[in-house]
Amino acid sequence: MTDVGLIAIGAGIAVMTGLGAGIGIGIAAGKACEAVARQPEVSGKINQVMLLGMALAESTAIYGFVVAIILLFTYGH
Amino acid sequence: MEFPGVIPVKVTIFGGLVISETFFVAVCVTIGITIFALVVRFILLPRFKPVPTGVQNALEMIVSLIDRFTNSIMGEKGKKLAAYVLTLGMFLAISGMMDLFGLRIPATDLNFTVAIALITFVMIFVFGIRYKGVKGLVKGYAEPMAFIAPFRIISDVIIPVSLSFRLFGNMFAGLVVMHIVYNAMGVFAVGIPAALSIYFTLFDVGIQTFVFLMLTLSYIQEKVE
Repeated sequence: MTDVGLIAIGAGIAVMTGLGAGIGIGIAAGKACEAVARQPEVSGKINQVMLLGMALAESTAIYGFVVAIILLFTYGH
Repeated sequence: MEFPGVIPVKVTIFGGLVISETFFVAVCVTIGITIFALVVRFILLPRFKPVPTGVQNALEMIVSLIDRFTNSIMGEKGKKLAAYVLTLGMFLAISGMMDLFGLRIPATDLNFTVAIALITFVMIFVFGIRYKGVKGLVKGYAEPMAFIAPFRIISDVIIPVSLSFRLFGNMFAGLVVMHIVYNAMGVFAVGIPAALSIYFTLFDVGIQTFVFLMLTLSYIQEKVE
């Protein structure tokens, strides 16, 4: 296994944090949909809260992406 | 295919001063916003009517939107904070649209995102000290029980890290994807890059700006209450 190959494998493993983010965002969107169905007149507020929750849940996936980018860009020769 | 690097391209101007391309874009956006502010203050403001029309209507809508937004999160203590929120939001939104002109937006540079995250971090503590005093602030870490103080300190220290890396990661991901799409389509780059850049340049910048502002206000509100 060469150096470059191990770096590539490491970058690939780092991006697997997207799995948790996908599950979390899906649950948040589902709950928001239920809440709007229950009370459609506050859908503006629910929309705001859902977007905030989704952006926060996505940030862990972004951390994994940044680790992968750092591996690929700064560990080469 | 030349990938955009994490560290942007640097040029040397005036024989000796080394600046990066994102710094140049940020300076141009600042000059543009300053000129717009001067034009509004000295040319448009004396002509405001009691019943607004046209440009005055749009400006008043934007200002009242930010005021209501700040009020809904922070209450009455946030009246002076609304100005900082509008400035930061305008700068992030307008500099984020520079991708449509083929320039590299400042938020893809880690220096820029860390700088504004540090400004927010300092503001959180300034507001905390102003409303609670230094002793009240330090004692606030031991609530509700004394042994969770290290966890609260860690979660306060991690604030600028998470703010800066969230913004940087989202913007840099958009930049890399748009770069790949342009270079992969080569000469036939019509249509699809425009459709993709509606998501990456307009929607993503808007969402990240909104989340940054809302998190700023939420952290300050948490310290002040």
